[in-house]
Amino acid sequence: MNGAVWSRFSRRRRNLFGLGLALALGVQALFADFIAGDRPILLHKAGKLYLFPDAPEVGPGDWALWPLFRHGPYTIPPLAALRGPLPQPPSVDHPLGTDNAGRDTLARLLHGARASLGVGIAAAAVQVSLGLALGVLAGFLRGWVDFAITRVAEVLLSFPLLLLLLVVQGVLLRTTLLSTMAVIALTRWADTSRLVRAEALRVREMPYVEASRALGSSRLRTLLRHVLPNCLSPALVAATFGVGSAVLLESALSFLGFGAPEPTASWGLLMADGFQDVLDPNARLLVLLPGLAIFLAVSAFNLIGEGLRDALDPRTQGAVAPSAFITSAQKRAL
Amino acid sequence: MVPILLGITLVAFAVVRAAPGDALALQGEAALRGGGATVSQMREYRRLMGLDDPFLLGYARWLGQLIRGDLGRSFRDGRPVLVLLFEALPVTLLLALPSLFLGYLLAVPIGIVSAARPGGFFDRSLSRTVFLLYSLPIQWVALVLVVAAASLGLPIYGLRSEGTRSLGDLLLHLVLPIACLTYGSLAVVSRYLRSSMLEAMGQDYVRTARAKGLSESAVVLKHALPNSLLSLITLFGLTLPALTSGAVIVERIFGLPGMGKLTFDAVLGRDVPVLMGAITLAGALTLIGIALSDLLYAAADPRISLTGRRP
Repeated sequence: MNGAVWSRFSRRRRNLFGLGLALALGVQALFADFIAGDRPILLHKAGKLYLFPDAPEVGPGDWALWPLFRHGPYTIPPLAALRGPLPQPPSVDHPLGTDNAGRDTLARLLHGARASLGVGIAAAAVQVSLGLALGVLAGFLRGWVDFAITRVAEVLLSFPLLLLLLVVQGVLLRTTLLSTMAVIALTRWADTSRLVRAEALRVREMPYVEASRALGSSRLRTLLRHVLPNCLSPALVAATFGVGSAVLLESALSFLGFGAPEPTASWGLLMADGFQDVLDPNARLLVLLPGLAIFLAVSAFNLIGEGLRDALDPRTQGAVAPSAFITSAQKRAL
Repeated sequence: MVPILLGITLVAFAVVRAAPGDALALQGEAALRGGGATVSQMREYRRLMGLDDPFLLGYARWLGQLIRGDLGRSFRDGRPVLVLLFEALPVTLLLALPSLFLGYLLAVPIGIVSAARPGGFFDRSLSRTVFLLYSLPIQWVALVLVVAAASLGLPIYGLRSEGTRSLGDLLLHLVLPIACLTYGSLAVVSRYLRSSMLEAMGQDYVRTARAKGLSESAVVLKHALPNSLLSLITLFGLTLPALTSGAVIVERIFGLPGMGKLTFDAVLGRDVPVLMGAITLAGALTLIGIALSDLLYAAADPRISLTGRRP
């Protein structure tokens, strides 16, 4: 990103707001163990220092540095320690209450950012790299390569999205965060490849590409040095929007039980826990908060995406790329 | 179009057939259930998926059965898949068509108001609302509606209350799921219409209409709107199949026995015949949606002709 793009991007307050929100969520996810956990961050025991020790017994003369909030996302309290029925309402000990296994909602929310944002960002990165590579190849080489890639992309795009993801996750013996990330990435690259292909078709007719050919550079060199760098901006925009839609997809899959495996703390899975007790007033926060967290993350990345699109291509000021919508329409409707 | 349907079924066939340990898992599950159906189920599965044949031959055989209308029988209760699909489809249509209609009905005035004064108060507040709607996970909206409706006494589960078959009861049960599906398409359609309205407002014919002294409302409603409605047809073709292929999440939360629930249960129980049938139907509906929007396009826009002749 160069200075001109940044200055156009930062001119709008909401772009900066989106960027700040995304960074804040990212930092929170990275440091979730420092904010909430039942293991000390540092334990000084018998003259040695331990980082996140598993069996934190603090004897006399030892000291420990505890996280801000001393509940882990996976800690299930012993039955004897329970007061009152589960899920518990908010209390001093559990500011946001617990789920119906007695796990602390605040800790699970904070740690859920890891799974959700992790899957979202990784899936977006993989799908955009794939889409970029295939789209540039299709647009630059044309011919049968283009035909094959476009047909596959067409099939993937006309497949009802959530159905495809469900089927793929359903045939696996068990789903993991990695498989969730992989199926999202492997089905969503078509979106990027279509945008990039259109850009590559435009770029390959540019005078500088002709000049590069005339100077005798090989097709590979032309492709890597001239066509690819000029197709990056649609891919960058697709990547930021991709994070938002991957976060939504992950939460949908996890909610249905085909995403993050139990007992992972993931926002989608937290909502599924809330769904089990949806009519219990004690679980109200468990129903509401994960969705709001997803909403914050998705709108942060969507704000950045819109800002980037306008900043990278001043011609389309305020206009909406229809292609960004069609797939979202399908996704929404599912 | 047909190649796309072939592609969709081929992908589904490949995925389902590549399932690791599927046959074994199936056998184990069936044995656990204690039914004597294991052997016949296995035979049915092997027949349906052509497991004894190489991949492409198996697919060709599956296609042949499809053309003869044989989609197999459900592993769960042994009923023909075709019957299951035709039981589930009306429920889904009962959700999809009204929500599609409502979405468009509400989106058109929103799009008009936003585009009439871009950057004005209505435009800004509406596009902000739409942006918010856009980033909300649908399962969250559904759950919030359930919580709100439970306190209002609206029914939140199933299609009918026990013991009654009245129309009013059915409609009450449909309110929440339709609201849930509508909000999504509303957000998409209104934004899409706004951007295509803005594009139309910059065209020469709008300037001409203004120059000849038409009122602003006539310019917007008679010149810009009809031209931008054309682009909604494309969107219609794309949203219809997505809605009909089953609103998996909405049907699951509200316990509605439509395509989404059928597919979800099939995935859950590894009910391969039902799964393949549902995917095939979803693919076919996608194509019908695309064909339908092509036809609508040709009917609405004289510049487009299906026969290739220019008027």
